[in-house]
Amino acid sequence: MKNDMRFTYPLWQMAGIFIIMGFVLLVGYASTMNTFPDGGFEFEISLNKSSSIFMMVMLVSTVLYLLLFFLRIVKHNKIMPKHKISMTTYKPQEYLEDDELFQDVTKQATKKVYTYFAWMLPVMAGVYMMLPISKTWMIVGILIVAAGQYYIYYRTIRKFMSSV
Amino acid sequence: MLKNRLKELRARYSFTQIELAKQVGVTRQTIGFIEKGEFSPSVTLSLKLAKALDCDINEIFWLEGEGASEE
Repeated sequence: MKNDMRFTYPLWQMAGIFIIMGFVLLVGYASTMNTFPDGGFEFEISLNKSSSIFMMVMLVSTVLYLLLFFLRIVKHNKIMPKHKISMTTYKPQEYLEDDELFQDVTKQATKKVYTYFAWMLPVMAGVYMMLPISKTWMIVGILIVAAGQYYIYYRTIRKFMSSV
Repeated sequence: MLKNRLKELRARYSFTQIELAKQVGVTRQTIGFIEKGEFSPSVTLSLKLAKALDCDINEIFWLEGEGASEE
């Protein structure tokens, strides 16, 4: 079970979300967009020293993340050929459906995630309507909520795994 | 609450959790969770367990307060 990447998959997803968040902040703070009366637009990114360093850090992180992520998938698929992780299916890869016990645990975890979204989406919509939040921070907010779902899912599965 | 004596019946046939799990087509963890009373199996799995242990389903599972059926 320790080598089962389906268990740690939500953590990888969270890491991916945090990397995207970094790029969103970078673009949000370093870019300007001008629209013209004829419908055209101009998009400009200007990087100072600190934002250049940040961009380099983000690029290195992305390359490292993708490299490690795909190596880990290859290792998992070699160890667990019956439960291969595929990037070409719609089904979330973190689902554990080996038998009815695992299906039940997955159901519990997804139920918690559903409850989380049932509360978070109206709260977010309310906050975005009431407060003057920039587009950048709106996207960051959405990404934080998305990372939250993976945390809830992972925490539930981890609790189950620790009792196995 | 669902009670069971799966562990006792499994011991009668000297099955390990893995062996019984293989016979009924589930993981070892599922057998362990059923034995601990932390997971209530489906009717299908309960019938498969009864068949594997050559007994009636009521001998393995019963509701709390009702007691297991006599053999």
